[in-house]
Amino acid sequence: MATVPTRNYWSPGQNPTAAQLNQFYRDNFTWLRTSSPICRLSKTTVNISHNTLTLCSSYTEIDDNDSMHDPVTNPYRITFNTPGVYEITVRNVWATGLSASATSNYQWNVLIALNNAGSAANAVNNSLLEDMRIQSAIAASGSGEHMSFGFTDYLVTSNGTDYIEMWVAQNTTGAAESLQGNTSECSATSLQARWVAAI
Amino acid sequence: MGTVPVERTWTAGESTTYVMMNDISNCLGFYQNPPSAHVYRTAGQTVPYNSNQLITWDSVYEQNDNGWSSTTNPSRITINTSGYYNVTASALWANGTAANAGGCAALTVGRNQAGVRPAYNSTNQIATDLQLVPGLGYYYDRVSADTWPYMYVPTENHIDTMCRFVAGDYVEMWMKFWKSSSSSRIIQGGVQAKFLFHMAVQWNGA
Repeated sequence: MATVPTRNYWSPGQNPTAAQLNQFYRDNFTWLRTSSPICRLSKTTVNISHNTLTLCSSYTEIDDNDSMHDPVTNPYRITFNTPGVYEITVRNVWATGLSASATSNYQWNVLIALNNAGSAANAVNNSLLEDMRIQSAIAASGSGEHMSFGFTDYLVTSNGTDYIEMWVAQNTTGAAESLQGNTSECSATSLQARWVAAI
Repeated sequence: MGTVPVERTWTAGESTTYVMMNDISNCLGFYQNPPSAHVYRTAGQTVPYNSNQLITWDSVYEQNDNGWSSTTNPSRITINTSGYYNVTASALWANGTAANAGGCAALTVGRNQAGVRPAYNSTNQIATDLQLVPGLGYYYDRVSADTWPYMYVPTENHIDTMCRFVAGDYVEMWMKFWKSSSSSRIIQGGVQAKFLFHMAVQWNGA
């Protein structure tokens, strides 16, 4: 767990020492500049079965300065180890999407669950947010466009013991569909959390 | 290029000088007013049917890092200070795009694309918001495993996301609609456009 630096109020006649200046000024600015907790996970590409709410794991750590992600133990979680308000950023990119030749009505879901212990049965009730993208055949026709890009951005307050999971589902052609990742940056399917304020 | 102030480390026995105190003020000033830019368009924007319309901004609400120019590439916000940024953008369709016949409207924000909308699933695609009116059709409910008829009439696109940039990167925005009819559509401008038809970035970490 990271520690949010403390501040100081000076007393008349008090002469700040170098140690105090470093503690109460330098360390606070360092915190704001680079030390506040951040975890950015980029998904590796994986197939998602049709109509199956699926827990995402197999992430590549782009950033993690507060041990918020463990690739071995519960690798599907981001844990908020430091109390505070966190900004969560979610992206979903599906490989195939639809094209001008689409003839059916398709759907993609991404869901962020809080303290859900990897439970598919409870994921919806424990969800912080859900983004659903729909494409109908009539909308696809003639467009050459993909509907299968979902994202969302959300603030959540944590006492330093909570964790989140990302779940996805697709109802497209009936077959599995590839959820796209990028191992060098969070430009494709990814889950990011950043501390933005103390509580 | 903007510079993120690096905090001073004091050494034992060092006397505090005005220069040191100004170092503190510089840091405070940076975090109170981090690099940002917020541009918008007061004029309505005509978007041809089924084409990617690059948005050219005509006004700036605020900027403090020379990110936008009204004369040189006014479609861009250039990132001059590396770091993590929040990116927001929105557009309100003036005449109910896709309202009756079914259709889609899309807002895309991309980086370093020189006016060409980034390819789907490319690393320069920061985010795309797609709003859909099926006109007909059903969607699958993953809780009840039921299907339900009809969604309804979105008229606004918007995004809010976090992205990492390096100095020299720039962001642009494209709008597109299709299928509601083959005529062009208009994005609402006007007094409120600074919020309804805008693109903004704000630094939030190195």
